[in-house]
Amino acid sequence: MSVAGRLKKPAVELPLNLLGVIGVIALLVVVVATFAWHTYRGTQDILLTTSAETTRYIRDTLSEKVQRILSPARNQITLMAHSGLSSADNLAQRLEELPLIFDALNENPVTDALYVGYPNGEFILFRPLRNDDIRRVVKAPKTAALVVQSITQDAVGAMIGEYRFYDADRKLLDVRFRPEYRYDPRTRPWFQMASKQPGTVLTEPYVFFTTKLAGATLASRSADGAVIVALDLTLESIAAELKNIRITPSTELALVGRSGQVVAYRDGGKMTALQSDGSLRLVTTGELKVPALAAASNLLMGTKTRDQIELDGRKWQISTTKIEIQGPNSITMLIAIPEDELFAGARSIVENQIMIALVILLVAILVGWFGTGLLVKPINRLARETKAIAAFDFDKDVKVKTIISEVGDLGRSLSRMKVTIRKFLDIGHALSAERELQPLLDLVLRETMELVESDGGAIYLWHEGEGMLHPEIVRWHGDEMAGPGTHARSLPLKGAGLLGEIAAALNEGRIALIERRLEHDELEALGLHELVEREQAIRMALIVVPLFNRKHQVLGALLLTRAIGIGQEPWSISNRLIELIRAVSGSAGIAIENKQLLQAQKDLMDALIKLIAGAIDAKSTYTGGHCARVPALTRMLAEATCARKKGPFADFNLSTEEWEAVEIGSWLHDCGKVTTPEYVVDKATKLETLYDRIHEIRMRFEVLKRDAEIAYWQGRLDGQDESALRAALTQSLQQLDDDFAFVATCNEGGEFMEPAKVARIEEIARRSWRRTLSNRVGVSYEEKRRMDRVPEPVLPVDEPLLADRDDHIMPHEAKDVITKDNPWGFKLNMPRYKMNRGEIYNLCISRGTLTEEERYRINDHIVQTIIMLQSLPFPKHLRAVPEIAGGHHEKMNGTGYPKQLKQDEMSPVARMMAIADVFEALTAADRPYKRAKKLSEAIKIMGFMKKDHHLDPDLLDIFIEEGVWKRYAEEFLDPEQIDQPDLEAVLQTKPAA
Amino acid sequence: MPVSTSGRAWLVSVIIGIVASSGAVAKGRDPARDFGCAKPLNIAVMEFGAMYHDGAGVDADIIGELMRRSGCLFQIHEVQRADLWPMIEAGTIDIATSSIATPGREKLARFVTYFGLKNMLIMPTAQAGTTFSLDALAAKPTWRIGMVRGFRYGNYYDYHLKVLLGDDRMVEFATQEDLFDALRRAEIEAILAPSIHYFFYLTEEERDAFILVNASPAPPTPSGLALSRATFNADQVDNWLRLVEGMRLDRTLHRFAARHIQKVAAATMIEY
Repeated sequence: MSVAGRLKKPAVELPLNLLGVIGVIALLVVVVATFAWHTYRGTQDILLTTSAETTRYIRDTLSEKVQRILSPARNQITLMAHSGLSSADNLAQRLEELPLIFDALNENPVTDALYVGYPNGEFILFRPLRNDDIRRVVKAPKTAALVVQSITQDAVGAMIGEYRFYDADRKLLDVRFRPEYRYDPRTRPWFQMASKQPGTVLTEPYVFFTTKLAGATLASRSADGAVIVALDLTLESIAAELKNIRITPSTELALVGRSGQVVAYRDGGKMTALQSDGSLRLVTTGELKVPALAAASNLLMGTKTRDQIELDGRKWQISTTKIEIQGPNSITMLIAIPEDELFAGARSIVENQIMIALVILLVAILVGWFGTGLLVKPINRLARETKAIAAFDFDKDVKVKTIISEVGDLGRSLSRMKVTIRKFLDIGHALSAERELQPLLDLVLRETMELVESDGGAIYLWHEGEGMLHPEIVRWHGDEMAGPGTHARSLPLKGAGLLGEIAAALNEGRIALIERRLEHDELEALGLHELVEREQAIRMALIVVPLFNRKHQVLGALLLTRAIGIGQEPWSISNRLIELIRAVSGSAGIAIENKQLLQAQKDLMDALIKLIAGAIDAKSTYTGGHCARVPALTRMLAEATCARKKGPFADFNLSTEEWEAVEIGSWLHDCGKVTTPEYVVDKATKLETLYDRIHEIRMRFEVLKRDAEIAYWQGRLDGQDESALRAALTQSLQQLDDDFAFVATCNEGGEFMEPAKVARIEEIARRSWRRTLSNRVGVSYEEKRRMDRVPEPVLPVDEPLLADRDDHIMPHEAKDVITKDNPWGFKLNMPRYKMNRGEIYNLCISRGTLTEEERYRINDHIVQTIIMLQSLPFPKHLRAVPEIAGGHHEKMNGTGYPKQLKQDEMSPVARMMAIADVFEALTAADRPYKRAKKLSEAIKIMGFMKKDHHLDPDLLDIFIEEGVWKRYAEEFLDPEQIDQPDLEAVLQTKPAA
Repeated sequence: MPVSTSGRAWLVSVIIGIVASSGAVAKGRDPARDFGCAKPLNIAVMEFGAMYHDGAGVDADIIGELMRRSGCLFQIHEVQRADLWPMIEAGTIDIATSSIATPGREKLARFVTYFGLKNMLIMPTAQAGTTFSLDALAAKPTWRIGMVRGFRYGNYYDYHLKVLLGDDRMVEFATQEDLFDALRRAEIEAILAPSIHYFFYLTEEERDAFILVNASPAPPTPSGLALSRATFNADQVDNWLRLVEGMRLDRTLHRFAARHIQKVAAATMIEY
């Protein structure tokens, strides 16, 4: 699979937020649906159970209510049975019981009336007047609280009906005779029931005559058995209780007596029906016209007490339950609950649950969105970080703010990974970027110390010849170490103890952690003794990291140390760190080896350059040292220019690489001189070639002098006048001596050859001498070929004393011709010939000893320098070397050579080179044709050159102002040359416009 | 048992009885049948301050009114309180006024109540302090309490006095006047008497020196006619009741009380 294939995104990718929200929704929907269904079913069951429970509860409540009514009523009736009422034989005495009756009726609000029936037909009834309705019925005064209805027998046996009204303070309000009030208790069911039965009896519920309320009568014989005491109990309170009991809004509830009459119902008005005699009776459930209750009452005829029915499309839960009252007395409670209302709670719960779930869902979506955002945000950030790491972007730290520990761990791991990679890459980058070995070693040491958090460290390099590890760099707490006792010592790779352990680690090529209390000797051997004492360490921990070259040969060692004080933990180095150290040390080893190789190559190159320069200097005793001094002077001027904080070169600076180019350029600035013939370079006389031809000329003069003497003697032999002959001889010899002396003087080249001198040379030249031997034998092929360009004269031949012969002329070879469109941009005035050794031509050189051709050859060295240097494959940072080296004969006004460059066409360093070359040449004591100049002279001349705009005036000012000349002079010049130059004059000099 | 009568009182009562019976008896009523007064009824009155003193008082007014309304003739007898019940038992007295029912008395008579009497302590103001109770009385062992022989103060006092003081600290006097005289003479430290006596037996100046202290939470004790069972049957008693109820409803009782008793005390007495 291709990389692109492996990294291809799947067809569907969803954001984690969305997945989280979908997950939350799905989960909630499932959970809510399940819970809602179970809740609905469960709640239904619970509600059914609850309704049954409620029914039981209502039954119990009503039962209790009945008992609460009956119990005090029984007590009351018992008390009445024992009260004076039963024994009182007259009304006055019966009324004496009023306080008791008042209190009894106040205490028991369900008592509708309290009465006593006497066997003689007398009757007394106490009825509380609790509302205006009753007061109206009995026609009571407005403030009446009690009516006492009495039937008493008068003296003749007639019954007297009376109503007595009392207010709440028992104050008699009125006494009314009621002749129509006829009531014989003995005919009443309660009287009869109580008469027949011992204890208390309770009648069937019925409608009370006076108050029209439903109720029942509780009756009992008096203690002495003579009278029947009774009280009417209303069921009003039970009906009120029923009104309060609403299981659901439409729930129907009724109490029915044994005969099926409705005893209690929420709407009391429906409970009674008018009878033909005007009295009221209790209705049956059927008459109540509540179908659900009628259906429930039907259950009484069967065995079921609970059922579900449907009426007009509405489902009802119906049930019956019996409430025991007293003895055979009981009432039945009928309940009918519509299911829609009964289960409304369940539905409401489910609806509420769904609503709550929707709210929770909404909140959960938001929380989920933001919650997953908490997860997604850091993960996205981590993803971006990972992409950045993949793109080697380590600029920012991985800072992930999260409360999720796993994401936090991932972030921290990524951060550590990033730091590690960045560190490793930084180290790698630094290792590759560092040009010098020593800074490289320092870098390796510092980075590694930082990695392992060591207190100190040292890098040792293996010196094969000595068999020792030499410390190259030592650091303690980030500082480079110096001072006695803190210098690491050179270590032999052998020995016992610590040295042995270090040697073993290096030989086995492993990283070793040595942590123990080191003996004095061991510390001393490492040079750590004083350090340990100073740090008050009880022991030292060492990590020995071997450094290897490509061939896995030990290149050196990295020693990392930590001083362990009292109570400090041992140095814990994780495997991860060990591996990192191994990786760093591996890279460092390669880098160190590279640097060593590069350094060696550089050293070799430097040596070669200096070798060339030395060779050039060695070519001429006169110019010897020029190639070495110019670099020194150039460096001085360049340093001064770099240090300059004002003027046009305030911002000038040189990098290490540029310095290297300056160094090489200055050392090689005259390398073209290797092509310049030595005799040209050092041509001391005009006739000098490989030897000084004055000697040949002088021989010719000697010949001519012999010829003169021969002529004398021939004359004498011929008998000519001896004196005349002598005189002629003397004159000839004298002339020859003079002429030779003149020629010799001219040859020295010290004087200007004015036209008269040239004419004399030409005159001397016209003197002839006889040659009898062929000059084309015993010569080189080249010379003979040159001579053969003209036919050889017949011997003997008279030849001019000085001659410019054809064979003196050497034409240019094709390879030497530099055309105007040359690729280097040289702008040269090539002489016609390559060399003209004509004797007259040379002797007539107007100044100095060099012909135009020779001067061209000398100047050609710069051309050759440029051609040679440009042909070299300089690395990029040294590409400026030809320009630096080849510009030192250019003049700032564009009249120099070989390219006639102007100031702004030259680099500052090339312009510095020009100044250095001129100054060195002016002050050199090694010129063949002149003696060394004094400082003042040299600087004065340079002032002229500034004025002529031959030199860069600003750089020359720096040269003067910064005392470069002085430092150079003190180092290189003869003290005799050193005087006080007129610096101000030079500085004030302005270049000609 | 001597019967002490006063000629003046008799005269007054007979006159009243005649006047009353001549004009007020309802038509169709047979006093002998309905009220048991086939013969003049012996009615006992006792010295009782504003209720009866020297032939006058509320009770005297009531007797007169009863004679008028019932049509019966009364023979009024002023008797010592201690002598009353033996006289009823002996049949010499048919009716007594201002009587309190007790289980023992009820065997001899039926009662028709017309007043409620509140018995209170009367003692020197200096001794009473701001509040006074029966407990405080009990805490003073040297104190003696005066009361009228044969007089019942109601259950509350009967029980408490018996428990708290014992017989030796209770000094009985024959009449209310004797009782108050003893108090004035400081022979006793306090007396127990119906509140109406305070106003009747003590002059206004004396009321500054003596204070009336309500030392009982009990309601006023019903007091009224005692009708001898030997003379009256139950039906007749009910008729006497109806007469008294009539006097109450037409405020005759109020008027009688107002005639002899301070207004505040009168209202309390009637609306007991």
